[in-house]
Amino acid sequence: VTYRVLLTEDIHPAGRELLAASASVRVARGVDSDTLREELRDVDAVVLRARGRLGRDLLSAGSRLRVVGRYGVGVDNVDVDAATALGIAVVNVPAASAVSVAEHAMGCLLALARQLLAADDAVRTGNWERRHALPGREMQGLVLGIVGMGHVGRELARIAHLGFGMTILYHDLQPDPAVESAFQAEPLELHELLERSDAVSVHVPLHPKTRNLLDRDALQHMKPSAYLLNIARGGIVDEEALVETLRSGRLAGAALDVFSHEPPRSDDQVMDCPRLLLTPHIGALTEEAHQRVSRSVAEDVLRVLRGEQPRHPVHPPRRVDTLNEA
Amino acid sequence: MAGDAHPSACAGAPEAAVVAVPESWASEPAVLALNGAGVHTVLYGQDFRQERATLAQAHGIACDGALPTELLAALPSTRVISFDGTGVWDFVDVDEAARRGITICNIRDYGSVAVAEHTMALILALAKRVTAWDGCVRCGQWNHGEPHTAVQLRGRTLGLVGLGSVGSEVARLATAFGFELIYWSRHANRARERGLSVTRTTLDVLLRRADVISLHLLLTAESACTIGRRELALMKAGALLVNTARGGLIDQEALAEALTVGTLGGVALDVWDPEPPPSPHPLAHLDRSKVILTPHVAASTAEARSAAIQGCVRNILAYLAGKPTNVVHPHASARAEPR
Repeated sequence: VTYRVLLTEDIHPAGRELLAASASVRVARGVDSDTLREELRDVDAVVLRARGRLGRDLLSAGSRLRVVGRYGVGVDNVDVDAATALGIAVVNVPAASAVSVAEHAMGCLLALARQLLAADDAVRTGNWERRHALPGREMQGLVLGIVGMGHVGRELARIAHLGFGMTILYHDLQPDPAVESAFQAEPLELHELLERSDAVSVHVPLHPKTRNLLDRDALQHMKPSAYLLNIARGGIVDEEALVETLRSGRLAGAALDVFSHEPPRSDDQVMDCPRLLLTPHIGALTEEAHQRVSRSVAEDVLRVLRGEQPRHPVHPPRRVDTLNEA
Repeated sequence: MAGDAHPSACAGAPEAAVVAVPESWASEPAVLALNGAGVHTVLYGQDFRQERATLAQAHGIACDGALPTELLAALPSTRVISFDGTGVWDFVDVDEAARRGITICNIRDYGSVAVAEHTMALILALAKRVTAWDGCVRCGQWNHGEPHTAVQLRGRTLGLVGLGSVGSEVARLATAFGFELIYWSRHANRARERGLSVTRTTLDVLLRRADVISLHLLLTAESACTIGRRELALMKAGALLVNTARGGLIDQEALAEALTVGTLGGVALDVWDPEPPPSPHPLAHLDRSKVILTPHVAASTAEARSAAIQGCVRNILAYLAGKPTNVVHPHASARAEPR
């Protein structure tokens, strides 16, 4: 038997080659619902990247479909309940990209604190004297609030505390004694964390309870001198409220790697917002993370197809209110 | 020399002293404290032709930039000049000052954290291409999920050229990122090696092995052009080079060549030779995914600035009290010591 595997978008060769050794693999012609419905008709497995959404009707359209492999952590673009009801397994890759994402978060925070875009502009345009108007902020001694202490949160806490000497606060419904002892992290309610932090980074999955978790009200609890990072999922930070807060000078800066609509349209409000750093959902896209994610999802998809137990099955959430991504 | 020319009028009687400080420091706590200590402070502006009379009466001068060499001849009262940074040699003619009996002081370690953090900001900006991607997103250029959109730092090798106060602070930060650390400097620093788990290699080995290379040397006759055409050619394909120390450590022409026709992965520069750099700069047309340029702002944090001003003022008070600190000797720049 040769399995048929659909890739919604091409994946790193490490995993593609693993799949191709025991299945016929093809890349979908598009990620819109109509194309995917057509493409899913004759496949045993699908590997889903960030774009495209597998809701109940698309999952039902795949009459031979036995497994959905998420190329990454978040399963917000798969209806896991529907898949489970239809007997379709969902697998993901929980930890493989945590280091890369945490590094990206720290990189964005430093780029904001050192005004790298404006500084680079000053040199390129021959505006040397602007150097006096580009004060930097030191991280040492600042307070970093981490919302969601999962794999990424822990890596970020390590870098920020052990490297930069930052004080770590965190918000999660599940306490994490390990980070409390390793990085002196202090657990807090969300609003108190926002009030005390000089920088806030969100690392929770997107689900109904976390949508707009950082809404207008939450943003008003932040210090005007603080920075906000969303390298997790678009929709967790209310973009309209964020743009308004930045425009009115009630926040020092923010970085978004993820957006409620990806890619953002050219007339999107985030596009010309001041003090906002934008990257195109690349936090996890390093060669190292790519390789590990690709191999892991391919191995798990093949396990399900062969009737074996997958290593990273995703079950419908037991506690819908959990913030922890792990 | 400078120490012998110490004016007895001032020794033990600092209240008689006149100290000139840049006018932009007027409200600095360290300067206000100077007034409180009974020293007569005078402020001076950037146009030295207009400030000659003010400076001529000063026993001590705190300076935050270049002092013209010919001005030194017009400072009959001045016994000490204190610079608010380390690399005073680029800003004040130390030999000429010595000939005129003026003691020059600098400050050290005031901005190590600020410079080290800026260095790390530049390493991350190159590795993650954050500034480059920002432009792409705004132009509607979204990633299509190719690999190599960013580099993971954990497990990479960082080569530190120089392990002084900034270099060792960078080493500390890099350890938290999970870098392998190697360093080169002319003199081994066993104490720092032990505390930081860094290994000393030769410069050539460092250049061949490191994925990221960061320079932390003082600029001296010996260290000028430490990174030239030959050294750039030794670097790994795709290596990233960061310089927050002094522009003259890198051969600028060879660097431009390595970026355009060579295999250098990227470069981030905060320091220039000369400063300000010519405009348009020969690297300015290169894409942000390869080149990040900042205008000597690594130490421009509030913390570093107030530490620098405080250190600078403290040097003058120490000199006037007859116990000079941080005295820079003529030709000291010829001694190669990591910054």
